[in-house]
Amino acid sequence: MNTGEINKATEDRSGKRRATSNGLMKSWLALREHPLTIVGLAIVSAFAVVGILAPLVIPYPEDIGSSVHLEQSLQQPNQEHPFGTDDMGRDILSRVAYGGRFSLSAGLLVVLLSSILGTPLGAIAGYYGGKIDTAIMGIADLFMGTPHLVLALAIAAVLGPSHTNAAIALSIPWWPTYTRLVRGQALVIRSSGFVEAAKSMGASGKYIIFRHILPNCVQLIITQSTLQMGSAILGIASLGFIGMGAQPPTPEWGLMVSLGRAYVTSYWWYVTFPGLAIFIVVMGFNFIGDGLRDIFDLKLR
Amino acid sequence: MKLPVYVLKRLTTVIPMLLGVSALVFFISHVLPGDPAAMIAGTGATYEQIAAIRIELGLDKPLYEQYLAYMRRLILEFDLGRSIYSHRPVVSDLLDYLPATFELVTVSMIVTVSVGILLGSMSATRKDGVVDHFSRTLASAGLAMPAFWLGLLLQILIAHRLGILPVTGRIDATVLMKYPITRITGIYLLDTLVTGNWIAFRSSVLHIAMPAIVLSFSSLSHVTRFVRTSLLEVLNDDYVRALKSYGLSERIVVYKHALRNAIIPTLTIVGLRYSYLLGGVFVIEKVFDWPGLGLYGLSSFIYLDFPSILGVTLVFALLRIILNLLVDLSYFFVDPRVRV
Repeated sequence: MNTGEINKATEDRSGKRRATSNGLMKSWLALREHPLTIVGLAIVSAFAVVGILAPLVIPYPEDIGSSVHLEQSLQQPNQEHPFGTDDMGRDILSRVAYGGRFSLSAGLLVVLLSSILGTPLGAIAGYYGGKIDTAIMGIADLFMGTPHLVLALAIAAVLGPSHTNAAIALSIPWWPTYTRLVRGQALVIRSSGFVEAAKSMGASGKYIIFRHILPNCVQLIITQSTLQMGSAILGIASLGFIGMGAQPPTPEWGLMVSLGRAYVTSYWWYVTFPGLAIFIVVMGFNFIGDGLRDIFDLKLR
Repeated sequence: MKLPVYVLKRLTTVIPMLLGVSALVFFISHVLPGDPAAMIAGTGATYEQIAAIRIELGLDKPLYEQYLAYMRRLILEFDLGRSIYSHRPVVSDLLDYLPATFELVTVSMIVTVSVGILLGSMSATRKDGVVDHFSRTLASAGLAMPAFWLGLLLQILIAHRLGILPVTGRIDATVLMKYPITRITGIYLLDTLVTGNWIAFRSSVLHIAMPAIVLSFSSLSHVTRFVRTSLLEVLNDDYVRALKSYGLSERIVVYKHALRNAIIPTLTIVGLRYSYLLGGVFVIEKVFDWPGLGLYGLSSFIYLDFPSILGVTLVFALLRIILNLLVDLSYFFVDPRVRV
């Protein structure tokens, strides 16, 4: 790489930094410079719209439950059934389209729960420091030290396998990620001039956390949450696949792949399309997350 | 700092970590709803039968007493209780299933690290070249692809259609009958290699190839990306430019000097990825019918077999901690600054 290129790179970065400080509109302009992020947004919105409108738009709404049409079971993709049919003769396209509801809402639940749990703890640990910090981070380290999926599986098993429980189970090992990130940010903000000023005017810790620290963590949390949505959807699908998530006849993507596994030798479409849906939607979230990270100029991890 | 001091210092953090993890899982599995006694007794059991089982397992005592008793037995007698499902001591179950998982995870780790460093450094040295685009696409795909799906697609393509590799299992059953494996470590690749059992070795290699590649895929993406970024950073450093201006060949500059510095931060990532690989084991072992801790753990989770759940969790936590320790130790050898 020559020096000209390096100069250009630094210029770009400072340009972006200016953009974010000038508010949302500039962020949107910056977003447009990242074509992949736009692609990601398009993918995710498409899945969200289809998921929300699913009962109205899918060709065979009765196939999302446990209906059986054995006379048309395991048909390969054709005009009536573009993704083929499964062993019960249900339309796979309808089930995949409806399944987006489950995956997106479960992913959202994981992200919400873990960020709501992790963020305030991180702000408190970072702002107050001392013994409170040691205690909170000790607990966080403990959760991080336990292999994530093992912990999630243990919780899912005890709560009883269901789609919602899988989401709850996944959020338990994940909250420390937010605690760590927010704590790091809080440590920086704590020593900044405006916090000193607020303190000198007698602001309480609560005020500083809510008015200064948390608003300054918004970009960080949004980016982390977007990146985490992808992993959360993968995790939910994995739990569904191994039987610790959604139960039949729910049209959950991981569960569908798992059911199709028995037919994998001669009926490729059964496992292919639900898996493809997971792949595409996770890719979409990753594109958005990567773009946000570049735009906000953050260093996660 | 001397090496033994360093190891000791790290070891002192390992023990509280293990204690904490075991307590965490112990309390989660006992506080949340779900009654192991009722599970063991089965659906037709009377209330008295369930109560009797509860007393037999010590479930009627306060939680902290149960935990202390559990840890006492573990430390003094190396006893983790009896599995509710298999009716065998959990320790012997774990010892039976651990080698298969260890073998799978280690082979995946070797694939991850070697291919990741290779691809990462190739794309960093030829930024925006063909290899760079290929490996970046591969990396984005790897991060989004559900492992179980990739496994099934490879099974359809490579095993069923092309017939190159076996679909599932750890070794061919007829091979195992004709050429039995002497159990030394329980790791097939190692045992067959040591005893010179080439036919069984070949069968094991063929069987482990697909699951190991699938398991390593997402971690491979992380390592490749990371090596690429850190190597690109290092390649801009003054000392690299100085070496180049001395007329050293690019190969020597990159692979002997720059890569060495780029690998130090990568080691941390490798340690982190190991725990993801361990988590991936549950899914991969199910897809490939790999008879390891993942499959064993799954059945114990499904049957709420608390003694084995705890055992499996402890083994996974232990493996993770040991690996982190090894990563820290490797810093000691790769990065002389740690020794100061």
